[in-house]
Amino acid sequence: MTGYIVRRLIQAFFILILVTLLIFFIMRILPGDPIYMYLTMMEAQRISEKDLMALKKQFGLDKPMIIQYVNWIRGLTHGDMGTSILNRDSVGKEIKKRLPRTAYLGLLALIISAAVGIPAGIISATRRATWLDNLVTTIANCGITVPIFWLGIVFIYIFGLYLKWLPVQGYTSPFDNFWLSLKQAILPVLCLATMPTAGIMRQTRSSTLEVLRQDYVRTAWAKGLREPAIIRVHVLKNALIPVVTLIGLTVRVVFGGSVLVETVFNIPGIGRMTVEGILSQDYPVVQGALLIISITVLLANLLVDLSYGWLDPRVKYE
Amino acid sequence: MDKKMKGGLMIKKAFFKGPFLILAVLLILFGAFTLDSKEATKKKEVEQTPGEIQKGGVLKIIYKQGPATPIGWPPETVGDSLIPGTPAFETLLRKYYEGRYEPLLSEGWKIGPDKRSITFYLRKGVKFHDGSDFDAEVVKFNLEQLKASKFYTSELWSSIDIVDSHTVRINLSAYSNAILTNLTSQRAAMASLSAYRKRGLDFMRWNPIGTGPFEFVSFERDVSVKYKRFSAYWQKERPYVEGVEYVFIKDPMTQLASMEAKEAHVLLTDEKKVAFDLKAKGFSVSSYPAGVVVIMPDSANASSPFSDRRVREAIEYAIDREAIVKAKGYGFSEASYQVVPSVSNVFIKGLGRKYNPEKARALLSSAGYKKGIKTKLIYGTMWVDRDEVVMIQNFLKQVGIEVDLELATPGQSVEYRRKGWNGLYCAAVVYFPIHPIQGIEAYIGPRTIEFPSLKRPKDMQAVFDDALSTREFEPRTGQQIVKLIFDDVMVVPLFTSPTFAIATKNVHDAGFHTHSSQRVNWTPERAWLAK
Repeated sequence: MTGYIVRRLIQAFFILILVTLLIFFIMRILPGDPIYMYLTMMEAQRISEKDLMALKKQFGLDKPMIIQYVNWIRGLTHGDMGTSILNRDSVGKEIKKRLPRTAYLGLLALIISAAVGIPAGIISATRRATWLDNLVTTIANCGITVPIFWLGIVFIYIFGLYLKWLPVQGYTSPFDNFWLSLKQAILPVLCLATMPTAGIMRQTRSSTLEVLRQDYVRTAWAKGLREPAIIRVHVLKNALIPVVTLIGLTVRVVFGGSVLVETVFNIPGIGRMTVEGILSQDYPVVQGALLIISITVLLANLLVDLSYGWLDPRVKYE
Repeated sequence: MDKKMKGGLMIKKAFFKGPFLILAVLLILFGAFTLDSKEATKKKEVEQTPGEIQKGGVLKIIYKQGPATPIGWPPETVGDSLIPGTPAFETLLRKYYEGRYEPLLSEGWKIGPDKRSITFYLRKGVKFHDGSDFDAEVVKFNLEQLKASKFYTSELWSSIDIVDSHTVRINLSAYSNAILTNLTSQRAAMASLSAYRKRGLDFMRWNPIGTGPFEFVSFERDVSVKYKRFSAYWQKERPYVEGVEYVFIKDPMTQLASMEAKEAHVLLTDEKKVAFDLKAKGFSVSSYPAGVVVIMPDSANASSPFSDRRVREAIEYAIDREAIVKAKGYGFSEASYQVVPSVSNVFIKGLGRKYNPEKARALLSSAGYKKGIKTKLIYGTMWVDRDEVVMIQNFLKQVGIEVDLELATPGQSVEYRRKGWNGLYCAAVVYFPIHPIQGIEAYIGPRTIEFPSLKRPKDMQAVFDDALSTREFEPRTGQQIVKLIFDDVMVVPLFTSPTFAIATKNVHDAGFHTHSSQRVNWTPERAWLAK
């Protein structure tokens, strides 16, 4: 097991190197110079080439691209993610502040997705071809196709403006004001959870149906076991392997969704930071944010792989 | 009249003559230093009726984005970042759109007779939020920081002298009537020297300590900037609200929903659709032109068809600006035929080339482009939207100008502005209501190093220099520049781009769109909220 983890971590390290290369160079392929974004229109009209070069030097943008990359990696090894070109804040500090907000909403969304998606999928599979199955399948199909930003706007209008049950936007830490935090989190979490819930529902239904056709399940029925016991003991654990894989992949979807959800619900998380960094071509911000998202996704995938062993003892980490 | 009476009158005349002369001399002497400021402030501020004013409440203002550059160090604060600093800071003076100046931290000022100096007489008894005094040393320090930051027209300040504890003189190498106007900018606001010495620049950058009506409480990036009432504010009784909070919401739909949900009192936006929707729902909408959207041809490029004035003129006649404004202006934009909006004091009534496709075709034909022209139109989304440029494309197509549209990212837009472009470039000439000519000069004047593809009319700089050199800005000189640009068809004006302050009905005297920069300045000390 330890050997497997070490191997996976080494593998993850190389993937990360690849990711850093992609993030770094793709950002620089984009047209436009970040220094121009730093200047106001009025300043851009008056700044001399000499001053412009001095500014570039200040941010290390005067050096060849490969040197800039090496400097960035060197900084990362010292825990320094760089400084925002636009607002001169430490990228590391900003990520430290924002990551928990995105993680808080993302985690809640994942929990809800699993808590709703798995039971709904099992019900749908065990009540196959009934009205309940049709209903769950229809909801799942809708959930998987609906655009998150549109859903966010609809939720705001229904729950924030029409019913006036929930705040329209904003974020409060649960440690500062738990109830307000909860009220503010409901709509973004529902938005973030919609697509993963639908995906998990569909995956659970399909893998449960497959397990239900297995001989050992038929044997369990023949033994006279009751349905809940059959589902819990014989079906669920075996049906969960593809579902857990999907949950692992959902971490990526949740981070992707946070980009939209944080913009619509005005949440100062890592998703919004990434969007604004891209729009203003703030290289260090985008690089730092995407790197952290990549690390989180890689770790989530590692956890998923490790969970296979618990779900199916036949899986060996050799 | 008998002799006695005459004698009496003569005695009286002689009696009054001496003191009258002394009084006259005193008046002249006293008047000398306030003459300029008195002249400039002949219209008094509209008095608020104390009986109506209600105290209390926290005024919440939504703006699209939080500050990127420091909010607490005015010389480094630029663009959108200026907005959330306004409650904490004050300038030496204000300038209202109608041309009136208002003394703020200075009680008066005097422009030297040779126009080689401007002397400011500072208000006494003003305190900074940290308890330190506002005096000449503070002003000199702040102005020197401003000069070091290459503030517009500060290159004309040769030195700054402290005359006495509450008098400061800026000595000038040359005069421009934009100097005084520029000192009304939020960037020329006064920050505490004492706090700077004690805490250093890094602290000051994100902790605004000024003399303004509100004290800084907190700043959270992309979330909010909060202020509380400054109890030792120099304008007694003011401010009326207990605090001001800027909330940063990027998405226009969320801004709109947040206003509808009464989560804030004011929304500062450039979104016409949002303003239209909120107006329909009973919100007060104050709008002002932030600029005139124009098409800039690559006229400096000798091989370009647009180097021919007739082709540029043809574009003007080809585009039905009234139709664009009717379709996309939501009642807030106006069709533009000059580089300034019609509210400007340099706007020339009746001047413009109205929609006339026949004339456009004839001009193209006479310029040798009978078969038409193929070119591209580069645009960013800051000033125009896709629908508007598609309409422009269609109008141009009708006269034989085939245009490919190119959407430029913000970074690309700046590069085009800086390095030049081929074809047509859609941008805006920003409108500065307090000094319209300075705005034009700053954006498209011959001295700017931007828009190199744009050919400037001959002698344009000389006309600018004349307009800026008069003691007070004279609209007549500004009109000469507007006419020069029009005659040369230097740019093709399209329509005005408005900026909005949308407020709930209980917000009073906030003073948005009344003075200095339309996107930034307001009167936080006078604002109050009806219960």
